Amino acid sequence: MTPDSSSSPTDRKQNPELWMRRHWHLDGNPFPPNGIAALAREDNRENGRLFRPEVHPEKIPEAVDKFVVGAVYSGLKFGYLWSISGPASNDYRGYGKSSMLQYLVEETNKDLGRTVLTSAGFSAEEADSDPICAVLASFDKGVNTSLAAVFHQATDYACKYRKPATKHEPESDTLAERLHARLVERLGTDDPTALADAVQGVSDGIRGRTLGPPLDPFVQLLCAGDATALGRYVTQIKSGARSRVGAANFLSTFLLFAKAAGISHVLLGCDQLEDFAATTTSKQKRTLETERFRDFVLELMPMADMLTIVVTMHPRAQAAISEMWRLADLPSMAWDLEENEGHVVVLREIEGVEHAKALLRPYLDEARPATAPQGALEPLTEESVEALLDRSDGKPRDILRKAHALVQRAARENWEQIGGEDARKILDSLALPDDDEELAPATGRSRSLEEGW
Amino acid sequence: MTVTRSVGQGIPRLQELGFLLSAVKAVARGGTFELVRRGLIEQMSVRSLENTPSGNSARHRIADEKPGLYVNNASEALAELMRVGLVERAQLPSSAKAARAYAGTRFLLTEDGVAFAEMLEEQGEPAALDSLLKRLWSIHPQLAGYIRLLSCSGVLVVPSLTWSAVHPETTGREGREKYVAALVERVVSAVASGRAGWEAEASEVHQAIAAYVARREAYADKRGRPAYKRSGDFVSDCDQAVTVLALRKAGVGVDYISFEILRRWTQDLLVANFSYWVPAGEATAMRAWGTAAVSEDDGTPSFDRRPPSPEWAVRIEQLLPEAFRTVRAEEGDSSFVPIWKVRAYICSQLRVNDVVFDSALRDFQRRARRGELPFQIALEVSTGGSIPPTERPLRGIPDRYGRETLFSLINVSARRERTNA
Repeated sequence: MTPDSSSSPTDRKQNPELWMRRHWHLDGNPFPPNGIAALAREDNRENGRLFRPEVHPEKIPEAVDKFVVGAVYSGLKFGYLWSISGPASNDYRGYGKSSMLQYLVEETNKDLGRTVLTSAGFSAEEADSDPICAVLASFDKGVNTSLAAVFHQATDYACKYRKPATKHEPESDTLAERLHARLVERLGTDDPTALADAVQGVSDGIRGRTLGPPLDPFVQLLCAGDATALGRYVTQIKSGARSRVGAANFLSTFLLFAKAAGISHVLLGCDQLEDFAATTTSKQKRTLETERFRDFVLELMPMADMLTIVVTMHPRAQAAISEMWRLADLPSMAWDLEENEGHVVVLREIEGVEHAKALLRPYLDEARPATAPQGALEPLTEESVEALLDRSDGKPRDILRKAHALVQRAARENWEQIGGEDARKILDSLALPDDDEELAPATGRSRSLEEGW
Repeated sequence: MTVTRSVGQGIPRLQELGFLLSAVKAVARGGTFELVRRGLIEQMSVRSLENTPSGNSARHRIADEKPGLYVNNASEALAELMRVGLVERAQLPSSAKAARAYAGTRFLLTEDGVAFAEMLEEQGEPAALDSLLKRLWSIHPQLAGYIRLLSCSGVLVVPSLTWSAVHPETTGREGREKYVAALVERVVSAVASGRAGWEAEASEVHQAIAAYVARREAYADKRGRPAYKRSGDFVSDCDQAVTVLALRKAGVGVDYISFEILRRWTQDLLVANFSYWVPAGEATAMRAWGTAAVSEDDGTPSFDRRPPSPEWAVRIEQLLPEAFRTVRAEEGDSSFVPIWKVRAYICSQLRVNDVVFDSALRDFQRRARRGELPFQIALEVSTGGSIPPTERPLRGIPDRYGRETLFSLINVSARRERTNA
């Protein structure tokens, strides 16, 4: 658009991106436009990297108690991470299940469970004597529609995923690298042949049913400690092969490697179960795959001994597979039954402004120069965060999206700071204010005759 | 028992009572036959949005481009308005082909029709529907009989049985005899309880089913086609046979299609309701119940209806947790249960229409937002399968963007106190 010729250059507002840099000292808009955490994204705003436990301060300890401690000490095989919304919402997504699961997995891998177990009250010695690691995978509507594909993806995570660096934390090692180091330390040698023999020894010790012998080339690469070659090997498996049962043997082999490194418990965080349960997947396939959950996790070795699965749950997934799940005699996934309390964690909306600030601060820190002090809210204020919380029904994804829109608009207006009143005005222009919702006209629907009475 | 026979007019094949109101409005505006037809298509298109969570109304949108569609509905609606004395009698197209010649034909309201159109405009649909019901009452004895039946006995229960309940394994036509025997046993047992609203001997039930099936087979034979391609078709015919018998035994002589129309009309008229989904364990059945007290003065009926009100909302609030628990007990392990089953439980218990439940639920949504409900409700849009054709989802209160979401599943749980961090 041509600038208005009648306005002088001094009247013209500064470009919003420039305003953010010059006046707010931010690299750009700190908040994500989508708020959908995707593990592989490079942008830290969009990959779940900036999740902090203070957002759900009671839920992280609960998840550690139930899922991690349960996996190590109580023989937990299935855990369910739900999000449940209030009565007026029609969407159970965006509450932070994926980010929280990712956080739990990464926190566990940081020092093979030591931090999380000690935070639950165990001593360092106890934690060290029962180490645990974790992997992450997700169903989707493309390739990863089978449990075998998800197992392969979990292996891919273990061999390739590095927790991205932020301005305040360096990039992490892969889980495979950590386990390799541990195995080397245990055996006192880095000779790949000796390490592979140890893995083979674990395999030889298994007496129950397995998916087959360990994948020898994979074992060799795991033991060679060459992360690049290992990553390439795992990636080269073609999409068709990933969905076949044989793909599950990658995780099975990886578990043997973990066991050789002295890790007896592996947590698999499994996201997007609703995609596996989507009605676009045939009922026959869903039934078969549900039965595979039982086979792979409860009956086949080494998974039956080592693996605990935590799945993120959605009403749609439950509606689609709960009957098959029950027929396969898998543990109940209902979130509201007292008897399931030990293996279910339910996320709900954020209710306090401190939680909202905990959600927003890491994004602001990441957008500021590394040398800047951390934890400041500017250009937001206490009042504008309250407005964001109030206008988002406490759903983290909505808070982040609205924060993005709010900051963008404030930068366009060249505001020094975003006050509560200004924030409310902008947020109300994006949606109906709470008080008017009940009076809002219906869009495009007529009433049935019955409703006219 | 006296059986109401079709001494008056048969029930017109009008799937929606609203077609009559739509047609009156079109005629009052001087509209042509084509405009009446298009008005009905438009109405069904919007109705489809109302009941389809996906919002897919493609079927009705393309109907607009096919001049033969909804011709029968338009003709039936106009003919019915002529029968009840609201539109001057005139010729109507009897086929889609003939409709082209009538596309520009206009119709005239009678004096009563003008008054009715004014009432519809000024007092709204409830007043117009009440007036219309009194006219329908006088020309359709089956309608009057059905409403009287439910008003007096309160309920009509027609037991049903799925094929798989009798044959868990795949079974062909050789399984029919066993199915019929099981159905008859189920029906006789329900009737013997004295709460079905009708009585019949086992032999009568058996004979009614046999006759219904024989008619279908003879019809199919004539055309060289199999009578039943799937077990579901056979089950459907058995259900129809038992329903027609139940109604006849209860004093209402009506064929099955007419009954299907009547039960929808009476829902819209807020005088009766029905559902196949009232939770009752093994005792699955179509249950119909009256939702208005009827009194007659010199052949003119008056109706004391139970529209949505704060009092009904209180009753529903008391019953909702129990209804959820009851449905859930039948749904296995799921935290969410179909909303229409909870609705059927409550509406059948309180003898009210679906709209009373839906209105109360929308009130609960608002109150739950303010933390004023003694329990917590969670609603979900998706379903584990399709919504049964006789049921509909719950239309929730508008969200921040004015959109009204259609919910299919519900959870009711203990209230969680809010924490202030």
